[in-house]
Amino acid sequence: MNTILEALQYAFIQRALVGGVFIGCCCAFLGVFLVLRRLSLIGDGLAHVGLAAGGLGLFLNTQPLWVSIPLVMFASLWILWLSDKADVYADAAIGLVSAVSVAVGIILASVGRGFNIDLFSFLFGSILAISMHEVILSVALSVIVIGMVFLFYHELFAIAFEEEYARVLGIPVEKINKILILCTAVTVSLGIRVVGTMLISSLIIFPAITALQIARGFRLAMLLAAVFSTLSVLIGVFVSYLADLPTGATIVLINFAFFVLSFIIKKMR
Amino acid sequence: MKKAIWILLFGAGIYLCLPCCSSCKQSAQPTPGKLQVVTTLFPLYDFARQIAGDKAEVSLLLPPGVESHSFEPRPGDIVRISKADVFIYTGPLMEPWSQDILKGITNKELTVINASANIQLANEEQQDHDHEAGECTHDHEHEHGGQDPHIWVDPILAQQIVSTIADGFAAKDPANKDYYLANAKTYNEKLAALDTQIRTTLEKCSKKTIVYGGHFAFGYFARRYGLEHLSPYAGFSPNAEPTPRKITEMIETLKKADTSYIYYEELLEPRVARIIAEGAGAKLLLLHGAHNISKQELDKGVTYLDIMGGNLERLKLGLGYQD
Amino acid sequence: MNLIEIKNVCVRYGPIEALCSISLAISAGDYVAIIGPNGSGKTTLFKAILNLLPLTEGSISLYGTDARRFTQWNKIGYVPQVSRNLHKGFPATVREIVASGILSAKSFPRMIFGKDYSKVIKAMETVGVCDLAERLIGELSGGQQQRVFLARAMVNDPDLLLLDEPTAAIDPATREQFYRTLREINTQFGKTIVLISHDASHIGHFAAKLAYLDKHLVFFGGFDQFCISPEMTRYFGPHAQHLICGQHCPMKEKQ
Ligand SMILES: [Zn+2]
Repeated sequence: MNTILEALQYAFIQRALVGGVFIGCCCAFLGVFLVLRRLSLIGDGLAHVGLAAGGLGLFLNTQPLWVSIPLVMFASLWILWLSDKADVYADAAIGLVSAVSVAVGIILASVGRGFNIDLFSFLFGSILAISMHEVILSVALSVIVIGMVFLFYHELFAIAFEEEYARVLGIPVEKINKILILCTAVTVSLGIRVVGTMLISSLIIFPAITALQIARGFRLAMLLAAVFSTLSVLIGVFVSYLADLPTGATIVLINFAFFVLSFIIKKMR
Repeated sequence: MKKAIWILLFGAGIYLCLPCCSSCKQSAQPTPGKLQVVTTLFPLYDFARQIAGDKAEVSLLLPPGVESHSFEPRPGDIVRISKADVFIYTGPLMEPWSQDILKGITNKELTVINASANIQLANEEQQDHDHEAGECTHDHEHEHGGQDPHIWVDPILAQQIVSTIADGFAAKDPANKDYYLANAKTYNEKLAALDTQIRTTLEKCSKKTIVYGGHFAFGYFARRYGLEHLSPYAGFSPNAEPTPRKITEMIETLKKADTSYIYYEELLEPRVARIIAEGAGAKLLLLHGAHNISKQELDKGVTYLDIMGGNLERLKLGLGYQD
Repeated sequence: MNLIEIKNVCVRYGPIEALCSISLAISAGDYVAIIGPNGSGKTTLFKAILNLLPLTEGSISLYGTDARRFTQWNKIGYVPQVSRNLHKGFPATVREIVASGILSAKSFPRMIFGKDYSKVIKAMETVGVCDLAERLIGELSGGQQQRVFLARAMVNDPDLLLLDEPTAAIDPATREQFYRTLREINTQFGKTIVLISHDASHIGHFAAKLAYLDKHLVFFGGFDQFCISPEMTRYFGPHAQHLICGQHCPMKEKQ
């Protein structure tokens, strides 16, 4: 307990907790819909796009975030378009877009080398090294994303359950899909800068699938996903402090532990 | 939508071609009669061009801004090495990729200079003797028996590197032997002067510990001038995370040590150093490991002596220099 | 008034013709079963009515409005085909599923309030799934799921119900019961019902009208006319009709 209080005195730990919890909740809420729509790998895919986009940003000598957010948004719409209109399966569409981005990223990093700062160090954040500026951005983003999810909750639910039926209900399915995917794009591109790629993709997948194992009801699933995500960040930061472990990896493993636990609970029922 | 994709692809295409064309031009036609020298790291590039003067064309393999430890040569780089007359690298520890490439090169005329050939590499264990938090490790150092490849940061070892390079040039181009050896001698005098300057400056410094927020490249330097160092990093990979405990320990040490400066490494975004500095109320200062230089520095024409001179000025601040 | 008016509709997927020259009018209070062999375009016709796919030719109007401009989706209750594996593991409760039907009466921002839930309860009572309210949709049997979707379609009290193969996932015993429920809805609540079925013999006892579809509309009329109509005779040949009508053909029974 004392150690926890001791850890809390450090501003960087406070920021890791605040930034991590907010980004985590965004990911959890979006994750429930993405996992149910078989789009759970989109976090990983868009992170690759973020790499290429960030490279372009450094290349153009601008803030990488201002290049990567619009480009990742564009790529996310491309994924949506491929899976909706071009009859490509969603996982294949994600794979396609991410492969193209990785290739562009590698070529950019290789052909156009000549940066003032190493590309990778600039693109990948660490949850321990969140700046105040990034905390504010994360909180603002979370308010927007979570607000969107609440505003369009029923539409998102209906589409996740059955897209065709949602159309019959008069829901503008295309628009709502775009909103979901764009929220994801913004979360991912900010998230890789703030908490890093590994954490962002696992915070999208894990809390959602853990909640889906045990939730009896959709609202409950959303709530549980947010709870698991928040707990994993809080416990992860403290455990990594106590046990002297890297924080991001600890959070991922705690998420995995939650998943195993919920799986066992489900099987026991 | 389709249209937009095409526009983007087209734009990306143009974008990709631009740097390609410009970089192709740079390494276009070698001037006949001049020695073609390819070096890996910036210090070797700088030493080689000081020694070669106008008798050779020296080029740097590392593109500006690229972190040298994670560098992987692309096919064009290998072609550049195989077409060169002389290839200079730091050693198999610093450039692990060099061994395979050199085995594959069929150019019998290529002279390969291993800059660390005449230098006994220090073990890492020796290097960090008795401080608790300061675990300065390189991933690859563990793979390669825990030896420290950063020989160039020590001006005395740098003189040996210069001599090794000059001997290599002399062997390759005996006609200009005296020219190379004379240039090397002049440059080594400058390095000796740098050594004296560092020695006298550091003698007037009250503190002996360098607090470093990156992967510590200054092992030889620290040992040469009797300094100690602290670093939170286990591994230099930009994706590796230091643990929160290491960071808080660094903050506490920094607070106790009443040092108001923490050093960060070149070319990497100093996220961790920034966190420590903020936690301890310290200021950030650059300690340039000279592995490679940024595009800006390249355009300014920065030299090894400039970098080390700059480091010394900033060390004065951090180590409490009193006149 | 005609709730659905289909005029000369053709739907093609590329070179493949799914439906052609269909003209059909369904008026208030009707109970119409659309039958026909597999791949005869029954589901395509439903999707065309629901404006889920573009018409190649012709027009469809719903409540007198062109389907493409139709917005009052709360007046139409749609029950899609149930497939057992589709919703497995989906974490929604029956109550949540039924409540989503409310959305057809809403426009942005779509919120569901307390008074909407009384409609949800009423719809669940009508089809008898109240005791399942807190169960997860994936845990239910095909018949139960079918009832849940019927409740969802009825939650806004629509005048018209469209059901796509409602008995496909149901065993024969429950099927009769389901058809009976539908008939009740038709007669007691005065709802217009249009459903797709693959067996003429069973639905024939319940539906007032049959539409036999095989890319073209072969027959449209009462069941008593179905087995003896010249269109069907022409289509199946004079002696094959009983294969479609089965033993339950009312004409046979009369004889
Ligand atoms: Zn190094």
